[in-house]
Amino acid sequence: MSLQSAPRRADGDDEYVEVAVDDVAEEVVDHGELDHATRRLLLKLLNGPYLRAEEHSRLWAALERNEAIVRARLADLYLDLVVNRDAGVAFVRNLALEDAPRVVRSQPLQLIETVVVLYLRRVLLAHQNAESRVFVGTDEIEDHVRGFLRHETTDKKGQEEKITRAISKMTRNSILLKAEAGDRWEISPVLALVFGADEVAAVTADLERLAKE
Amino acid sequence: MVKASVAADARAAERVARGAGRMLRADLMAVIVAVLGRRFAEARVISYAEFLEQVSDDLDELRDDGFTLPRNAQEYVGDWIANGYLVRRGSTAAREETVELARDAAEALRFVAAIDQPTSAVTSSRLANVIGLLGDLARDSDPDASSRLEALRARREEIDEEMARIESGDFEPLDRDLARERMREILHLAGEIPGDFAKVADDLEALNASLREQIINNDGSRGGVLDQVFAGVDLIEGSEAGRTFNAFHELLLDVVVADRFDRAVDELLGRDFTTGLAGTEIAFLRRFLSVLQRESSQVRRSFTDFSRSLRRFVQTQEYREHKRLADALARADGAALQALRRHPPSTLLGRDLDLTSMRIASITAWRLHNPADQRSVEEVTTNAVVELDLEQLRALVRLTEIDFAELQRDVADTVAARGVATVAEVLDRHPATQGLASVVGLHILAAEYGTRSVGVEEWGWVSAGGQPRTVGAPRYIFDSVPEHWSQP
Repeated sequence: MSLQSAPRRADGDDEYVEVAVDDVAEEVVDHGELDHATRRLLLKLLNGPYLRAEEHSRLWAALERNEAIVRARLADLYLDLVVNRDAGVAFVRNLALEDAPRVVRSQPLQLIETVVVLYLRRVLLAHQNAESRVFVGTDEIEDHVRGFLRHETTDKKGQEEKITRAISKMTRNSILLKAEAGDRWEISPVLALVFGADEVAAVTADLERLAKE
Repeated sequence: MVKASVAADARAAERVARGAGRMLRADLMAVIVAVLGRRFAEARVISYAEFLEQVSDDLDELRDDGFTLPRNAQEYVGDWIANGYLVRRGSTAAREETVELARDAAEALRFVAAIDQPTSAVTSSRLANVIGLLGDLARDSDPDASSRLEALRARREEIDEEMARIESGDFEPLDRDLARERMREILHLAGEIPGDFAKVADDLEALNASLREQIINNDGSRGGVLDQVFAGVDLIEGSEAGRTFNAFHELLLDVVVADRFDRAVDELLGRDFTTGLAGTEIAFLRRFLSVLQRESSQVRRSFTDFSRSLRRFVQTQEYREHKRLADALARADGAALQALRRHPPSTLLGRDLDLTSMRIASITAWRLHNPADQRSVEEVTTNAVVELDLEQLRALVRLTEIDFAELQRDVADTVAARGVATVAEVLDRHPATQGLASVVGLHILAAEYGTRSVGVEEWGWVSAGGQPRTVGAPRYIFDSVPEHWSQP
């Protein structure tokens, strides 16, 4: 057995995810009820991390057209659609129903990762007034986190590795998105929308509980 | 102009030393001035990734020349950003950042250039400028109708007298040296304008940040920034920087003004005293308005963006949330510090961060690997290979492709000979060897490397049937071409 490599997409056009279809002898019956743009939009929302109005203009147009349908289809999968027109961003999250399964991937936070997330949220807040995307450098994150690990002075190398691991986890989970130049990242605008003062307060309560243990 | 005391002078000089003076004191001052001056002469804003590559090239060149530069481009640029010579910003469109010169750095570059090429300010043209501007100001600010009319009548008489003199053949064009000196003065003044955009953008950002700070920290007193924005007062557009800039922007978009400018440049370049101008100066003049319009529109856009987002900041009560979140984050950091004192960094917090994607995996995405897929089933025959004839190959390529290498050599040669060249001048010197294909190729090169200028010109070539053909085409100016163009 081997894994097939995914079909390469043309640069700059990741709106449409290629789906390889085998040459099958029997006729394929398409049971889909929606137009192609809307179906691709659903796929993009499920694949995440988010839809951006400027970047995915065709899909965004489909969203504007069929928001109610898209919302219903996602709700059938226990997903809630969040559309923020001010920021030009749309994404999915778990539907907050009683006894609904949790569908989206989640990342259990370690202490060090919590520090990184809090830092990224703070950078987003500092740049909130600009209409542009927000970027951060690996070195900036490292410098910040190091300040929290000052008391652990013995194992510098292990410390560096922990920070690097935390950053790479953020990139795997699309909280940090690779920028054009090396070692620079765009901070996902979604973080600002899902991580507000209430969520920070909840995290603070956990941290304070841990500090007493 | 007159300061209160020597202490105040010293304080002011201290501010300069902290700002523009900082770059002048840097160890690598020569390198920084050379690299930044060269890269930002053409563009005010460069994409960060592209800039890193440019700096990397420049560093290589400098090292070959004997400069000791042990670090890489990314480290140097990082330093320059940290020291405040460059400003790095996120862009709205693509996932990339841009860099631009900070205001202090632009001042420092101008200062170095002024020392390097001193120009005397004791010139009749500068004095004439001052006197003329003063006269205009006195006239335009005069509230009294009768004295305004008086002034206009006096001017009409002067004009009538002058027309009479010209009709009788009694006039003298400006002396060449004087004309040249005036031209230099104009270029000097014009050169200062683009540098001021950085200043406007800086002022705008500082204003925006301070307004936001006042809104976030409002203490509930009446009549503050918060109330004004609520009442619909546009504090950004209405600021001094905003009003000054708007007047500038409107003048720039005035079609009549633009037309007059272009005509004047065309006429001046036909005069004999401008033959001594460098190619870059000619290109600078030709390009002047379009560059300003582009820069100005960008600044104009940020004005609008800032105003809009400030209004939203207040109307949606976002500022309250902002303050609440800032406080919450500060408290969270404190708690994280305490927790990390007692627990290793990898301790789980007991809370998940929900992401916004899900894993879609199906067994049907798996494929069995069949080695036979790699095997060919057809008989393989070996064909004899003939010796490759390079000349024949080149001729074949020329039949089907535009010979860009030749065109680039032609352009480079014409530019080297004339300083600047239009496409027509290139064709004049090197007739199109591939007919229309050469002309198309030149047009592609011009669009990419040349500068669109005003006016049209005729491009001529001989068709495949031996007929001379011409086409009216936009005028492009080549002033500098990549070095490899001139290599055979």
